[in-house]
Amino acid sequence: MKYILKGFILTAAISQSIFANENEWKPEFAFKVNQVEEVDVSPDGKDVLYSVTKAKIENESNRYETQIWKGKVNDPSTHFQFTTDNYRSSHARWSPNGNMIAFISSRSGTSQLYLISPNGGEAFQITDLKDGVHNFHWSPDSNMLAFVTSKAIKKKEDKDKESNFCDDVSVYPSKKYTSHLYMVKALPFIQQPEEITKDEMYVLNSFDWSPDSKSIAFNYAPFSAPFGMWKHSQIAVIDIDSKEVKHLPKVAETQHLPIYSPNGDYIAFIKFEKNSEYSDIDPITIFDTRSKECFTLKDETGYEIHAYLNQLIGWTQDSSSVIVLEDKHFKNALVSIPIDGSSCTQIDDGNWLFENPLLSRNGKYLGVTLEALDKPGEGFVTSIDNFAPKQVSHVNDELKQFTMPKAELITWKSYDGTEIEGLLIYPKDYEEGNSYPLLLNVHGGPMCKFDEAYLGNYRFYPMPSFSEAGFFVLKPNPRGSSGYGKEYRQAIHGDWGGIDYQDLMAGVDHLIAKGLADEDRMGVMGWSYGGYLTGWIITQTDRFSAGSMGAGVSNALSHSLTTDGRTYMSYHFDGETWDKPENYMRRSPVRYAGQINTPLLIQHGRGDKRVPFSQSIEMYNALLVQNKPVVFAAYPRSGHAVLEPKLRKDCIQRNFDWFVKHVKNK
Amino acid sequence: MKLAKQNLANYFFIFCLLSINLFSEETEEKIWRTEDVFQIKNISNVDISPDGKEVLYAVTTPQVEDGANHYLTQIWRGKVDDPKSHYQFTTDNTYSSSARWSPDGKTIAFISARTGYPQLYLIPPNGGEAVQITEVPHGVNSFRWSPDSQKIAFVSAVYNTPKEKDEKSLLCDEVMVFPDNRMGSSLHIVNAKASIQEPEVLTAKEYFCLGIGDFGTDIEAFDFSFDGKNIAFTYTRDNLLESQWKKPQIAIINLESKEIKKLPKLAPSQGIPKYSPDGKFIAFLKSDANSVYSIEQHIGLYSIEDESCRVLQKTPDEGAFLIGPSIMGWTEDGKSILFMEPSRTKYAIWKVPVNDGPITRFDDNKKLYSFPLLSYNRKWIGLGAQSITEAKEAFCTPASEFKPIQLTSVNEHLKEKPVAETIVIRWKSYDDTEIEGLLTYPKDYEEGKTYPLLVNIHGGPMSMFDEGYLGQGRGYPLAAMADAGFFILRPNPRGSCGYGLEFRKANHNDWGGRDYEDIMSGVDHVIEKGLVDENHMGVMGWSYGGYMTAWIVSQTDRFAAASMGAGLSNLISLSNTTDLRSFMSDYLGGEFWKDPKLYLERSAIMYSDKVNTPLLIQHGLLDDRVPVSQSIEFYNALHKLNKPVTLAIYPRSQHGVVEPKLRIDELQRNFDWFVKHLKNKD
Repeated sequence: MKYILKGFILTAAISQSIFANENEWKPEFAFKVNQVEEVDVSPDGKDVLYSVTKAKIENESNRYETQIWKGKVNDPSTHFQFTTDNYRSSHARWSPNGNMIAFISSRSGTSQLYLISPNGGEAFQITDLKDGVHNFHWSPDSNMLAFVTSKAIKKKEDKDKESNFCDDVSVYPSKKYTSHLYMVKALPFIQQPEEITKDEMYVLNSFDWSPDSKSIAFNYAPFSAPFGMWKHSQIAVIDIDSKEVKHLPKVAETQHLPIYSPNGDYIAFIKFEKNSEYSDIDPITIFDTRSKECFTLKDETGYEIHAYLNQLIGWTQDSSSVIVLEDKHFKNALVSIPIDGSSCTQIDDGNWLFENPLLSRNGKYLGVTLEALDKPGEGFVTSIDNFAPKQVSHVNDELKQFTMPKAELITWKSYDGTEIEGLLIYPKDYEEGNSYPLLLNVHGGPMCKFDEAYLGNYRFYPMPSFSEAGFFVLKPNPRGSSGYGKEYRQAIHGDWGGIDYQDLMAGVDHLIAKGLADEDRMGVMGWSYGGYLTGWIITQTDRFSAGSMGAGVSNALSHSLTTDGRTYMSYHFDGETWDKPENYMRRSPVRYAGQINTPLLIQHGRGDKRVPFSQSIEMYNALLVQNKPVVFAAYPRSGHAVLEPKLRKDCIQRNFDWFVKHVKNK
Repeated sequence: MKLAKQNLANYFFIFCLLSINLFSEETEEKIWRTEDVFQIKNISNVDISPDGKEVLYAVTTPQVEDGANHYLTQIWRGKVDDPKSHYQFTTDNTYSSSARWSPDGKTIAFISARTGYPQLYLIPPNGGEAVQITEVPHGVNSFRWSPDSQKIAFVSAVYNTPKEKDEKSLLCDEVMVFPDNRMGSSLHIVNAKASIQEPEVLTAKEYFCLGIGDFGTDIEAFDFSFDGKNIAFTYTRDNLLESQWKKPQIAIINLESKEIKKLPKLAPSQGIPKYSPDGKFIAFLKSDANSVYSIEQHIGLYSIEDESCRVLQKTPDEGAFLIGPSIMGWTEDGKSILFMEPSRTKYAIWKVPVNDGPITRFDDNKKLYSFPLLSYNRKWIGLGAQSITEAKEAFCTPASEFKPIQLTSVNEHLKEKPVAETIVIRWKSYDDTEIEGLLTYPKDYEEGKTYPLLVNIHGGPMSMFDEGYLGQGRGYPLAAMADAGFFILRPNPRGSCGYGLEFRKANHNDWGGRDYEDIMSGVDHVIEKGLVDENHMGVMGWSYGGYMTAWIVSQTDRFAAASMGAGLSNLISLSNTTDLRSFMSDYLGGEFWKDPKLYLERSAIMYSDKVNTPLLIQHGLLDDRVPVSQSIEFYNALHKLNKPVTLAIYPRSQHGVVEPKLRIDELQRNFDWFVKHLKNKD
């Protein structure tokens, strides 16, 4: 602990000259990277708000703090921390008329809505709700703020004093909460919000005001929806005055994220079909408010947007096109899709990785976080008509003293001839002609991908440290990854651990054939689906000297009915467990644990709901009972990722030590 | 044959009683309600003084008044021949139990949690308060006086910290890393002096010493030699729970030289050593442990002189499981071992002669005797005794001859509220095997009428329904259910204890097979007798009983409602998540990865789409034996299929729900569930 403290005091207080001697990247330096999000440009384009998240680990602190910053778009020297509550203040949004700023803060204990003047003075709390406010939208006339919150359903019989039942017992199905749209006036005092929607609907997360401020389009599930509520999501429009609800036509099983066009004629939304789960996307649909009909946009770019990430960004000013953020190999692309069926155009210059794009209400400006392999994320602003990103934040300037390792995109042919792409990170001391230990890193998802994010920004595996310790790291996007089109994405359907496994191993073979990797010193690591594939790979081959499996699926059969994503396994495995148990068993690492000869580190958050902790217990016990080399690290207070700084530090350091011990020093 | 006749007699006798009952008006106060379970006091640890005149015992009382939500255990004391002389001896409002007279009768030692972790205390029998004598960081598990009354040996957990923590380490202590052998358990010894002392640690960390087992044993797993110079103790090589069953071994430590000598390994599993009065032999419990835990338990005999071991003749049930002590100790004359094990719906205490003469039954088979405690001088046995209609009280008997004397009347008040009548019945299963069970009649029973039926299935499966007090009902408020007008059938199907080794093994590789038939044939039997309305039947059970409940509703629609408690739904995932790691593979003939067929075939989850019976699922959130994920799997499967299912998860609870306010929820939820689905059904 002393050691870490020293490191951070030095970083924070003392000059760069010390680091000139000691600019080696340490695994825990991940906490030096500050995160910029939600870059919101004022309506006049002159000012900008954004949130900055920093790890607080000095003086025994063990948390993250998010605060709002403000400054002029054209003058970095004017930027300053705008909120000062030491907890979390974020989600700052200019009112459409630019006179006021609303944001969410948890300074009172729960997340509540606040108003603050852009011209000075402290913030006013305006809501005080039990379950808080997590998302809101200004009405276009700047008079109201709408949001979604849940509240407990009180039943008369619940409060029967004679009852022997105990409130501490969790009973399912649980219909204890409703979730509704509410609104408050943009006035600086705590108000009782007005409930907009009614009981038969359970309002989900996305909604948008009509340009005339008279209606709100929102997505909801019927209150009686049995299972996986958001999969039953449909869209409706409610009239604010009359409370009359009009449902959009149901063109697909799931419809969400409605966004009005600036002229009010259209509502764009994302749909996807039943059973298509997360991977079938042809998603942007337009509802014409005049004809009451829907039509789906053709996106011929061949890439895709993530239906479950909010990557439908908005409309162009003239209401002629929608703007989406698409995955594109190791980057992403801002694409404008005209609703008249004409060709899409890529807005950006192809040099960046975009995150958190936020289109200003008037459609003129885009605030975004941009990063690259050697550049940590910073806030940028650009106009949509003329893509020219201007850096507005400078929260990671300190990192400039660290040189990121050499990394390049490479391609290889998989065993069936398909071209696969991967990012290859070089060992720092690389000399041509020498071979080096190799770590294969497998991404989660599976419908996700590795991208060109800043190499110093990692959750579990410290890339720059591995490079400095003399490892190659290969981060492939095998079949099943996003960013390479629908066919590529769906190629692993019913074939987990099949063709994707081949793509990965072909990449390893490629590096060995080129003389780069030392085939006697290789490791494999990954989290979530990457954890699954790590577990799977070492049941299929002994080529790796060590593995690290994070929050991985070990038994597809039990995972199918314990994960909170309760429908995706039956999609991926072509049937329910009771109909097709063999589909699940034949691709479960735990079934072949007896074939494992690779020392395995297992890491898992105890509170994980996506891949329950029991998956790692199954794997650990299966290995233990067969006397296989295994170490299992269980992280308290952690869900599907290990986030809390001191736990995350353990997670990163443990991986680093593991591979140095078992692969490098083998 | 003899037993059958006796049973028939019971049957008629009870019918007479029933007909008498019909004429008496039941008042509201006499109807059992769910929460009446908290009226029952529990007695344990009955220890008779060396002179045979006095008794110490512990009384546990549920505390539920004024927002209280715990159990209070305190030590009571009194004269054997004068019930009026009994009084509460400790007064700490937390936990004081396990009182033992010193062999010379001059001091009493006990364990109390009054300062947090359980510690050892001494208290003079003639007046004055208790004095704490240990302050060990992880508490005292169990203890035993030295024969000269000068020392006390005990087992306590020890935390073996790694050599020296690297100051530069970036790793975090809060991350749990497995395998984790840091938590050990050592034999300690302390002087019986009235002040806190630093105990001497006798065994090194490679010996994980057993105190009182997780289940199965209720006596110390170590013993002083008659001269007090040695201690024989039970140990394992790691801290895995399963090793305590399958791999314990015995060693002897010389208290002077600290030299440790291991007993010859007669069997993979040997534990609970008991020195003979002359100090020449050590009797112990031995098991081949080649199958499920230690299914066959026999008495091993070690001769200290020639360092040889042999096995005594088999008892009728060949061992015990899930009940009190099996090996109680030696008779005073040194000629026999007293050994307790299940015997049909009761427990039998057998006298097993070391000279291989005939085994004789020690007890009178009249009541359900439990937790016998042999006094240090082997002259007395303190024990609990109860029957289906009478709650447990403390009894004692001379160890030479069974002559039970009732010592307490802590549950006298329950006589005001008689429980419904229960008989032992037998039927032929579909393959003609005779099956036994307990049948409880509805309180309002009238001959010729039919009533709704609840079938209750026990856990284990190596366990059995016994003739314990009906009011006690674990998980299910049986007395209240009978009073609400239900028949309750509690079968002991194949796999149960008490019917011999072959019967106990008969469900191997056959979960959900013959055991299922044994249960269903019992249901058929009570229907055929015209007792039960077959359209109003429910089924319920905890642990293995929960497995069987889930299995039953996946195989038949005969039941109108079911309640599955801490049950197994997916045998494949259970096998790698339970803390008894080889439990499933032992029962199903191998690991699933060798052949998953039987695991899949006998898992209810594989028939989720066939379930049509409304199912209540209950589970403790912290259950390590059957993890809550078993219930989550089944709930999600049924919920996804739009089947009628309710899941209740109990916080702060492991494999049983214990905390009073959670327990009452558990009981009431079951009661309401069956009243709603059976009684109020058309």
